[in-house]
Amino acid sequence: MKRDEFFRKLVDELELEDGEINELSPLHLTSLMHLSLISFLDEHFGVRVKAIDLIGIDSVDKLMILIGKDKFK
Amino acid sequence: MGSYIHSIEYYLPEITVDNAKLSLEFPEWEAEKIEEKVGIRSRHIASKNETALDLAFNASEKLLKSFDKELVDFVILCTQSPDYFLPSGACILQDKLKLRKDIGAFDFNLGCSGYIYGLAFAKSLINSKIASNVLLIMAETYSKHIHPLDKSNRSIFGDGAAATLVLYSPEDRIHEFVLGTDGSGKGNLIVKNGGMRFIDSQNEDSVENYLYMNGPEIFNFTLDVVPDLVKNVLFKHNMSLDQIDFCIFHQANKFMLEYLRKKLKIDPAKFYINMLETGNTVSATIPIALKDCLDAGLVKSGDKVLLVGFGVGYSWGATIVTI
Repeated sequence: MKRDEFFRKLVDELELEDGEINELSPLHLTSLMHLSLISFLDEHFGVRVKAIDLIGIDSVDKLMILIGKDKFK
Repeated sequence: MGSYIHSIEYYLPEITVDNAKLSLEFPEWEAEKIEEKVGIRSRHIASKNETALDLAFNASEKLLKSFDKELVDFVILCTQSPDYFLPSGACILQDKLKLRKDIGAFDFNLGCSGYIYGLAFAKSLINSKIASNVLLIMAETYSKHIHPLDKSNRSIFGDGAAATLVLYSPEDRIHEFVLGTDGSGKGNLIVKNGGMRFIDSQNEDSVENYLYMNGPEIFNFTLDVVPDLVKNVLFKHNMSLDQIDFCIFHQANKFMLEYLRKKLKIDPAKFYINMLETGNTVSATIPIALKDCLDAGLVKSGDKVLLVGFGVGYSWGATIVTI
């Protein structure tokens, strides 16, 4: 997936108030967002993440590392 | 030789707690967002002195208004909120409902998969000629397991009971079952204290006295299990989704159901999602939904309905019934 497309979809999926994000943007994930992320990553990347893996995710960059940076163009 | 679902009734406690009421207790709680996501606006909550057995009794009384109770020859109660360690609630119900004494009765402890297992039990009892008219009851009061400050679980779960009559039929209308279990997930949805393993915990404030649910891991479990469960139960019937008239899954929450529906490519017109005014009533969600679908004409006589339950244990099951 292209990075820009990922950023756009992530904003929609997590309903982030900050409409534009990039790799450096911070993430403050709530438990509801964890559910959204699990389905989002399953649907778009075929990646299944455990709840415990999401606990330390506090930035877009860390999320991209969790997904696997090779999955981004 | 077979069995069928003759009738269903349900009972919900009188007290309701809506999202506005929860918002007063938790001002930081985003009521509208939660409602949109989980699809729950209000839930019924048992009063302090009202137990799952009381709800079971009320649902059964309602059901037996239109069926001769002398004909009931087996009682099965599914609950995880029993009145007592012993005796079992089904025995007490036999007495309270003034049923015959020459009948069988037992409880079983399952959550969201309970209705599927209950149908499997009832069908087996009928097919083995042990019983002909089984009263199957799902009754739950998870609210009594939830810590008052646990707003997440308080927003999801509601209390309720549903009673179903499963009767003998010359043709089988409760078809094949696929069941599954994975106890390695026990810690993700658990009430730890109160049983024998942690009997010495006397601290009233301990969070382990209350229900713990790891929502994301439960979601992961459903993604792992439910698609294959549906595939396997269809395979067992040599059917495809196109041949199913309606699908009723355990009403866990709207977000989870929407995602499962999308993943399984089920037509939204034949997939039921409605827990707006009841919340997740655990084992009672499927019979409540089936009753509502029958009353609303969404499910009609002769329809083939796919029923799918999954949750605490982990435990899961699916079957197809002809209405």
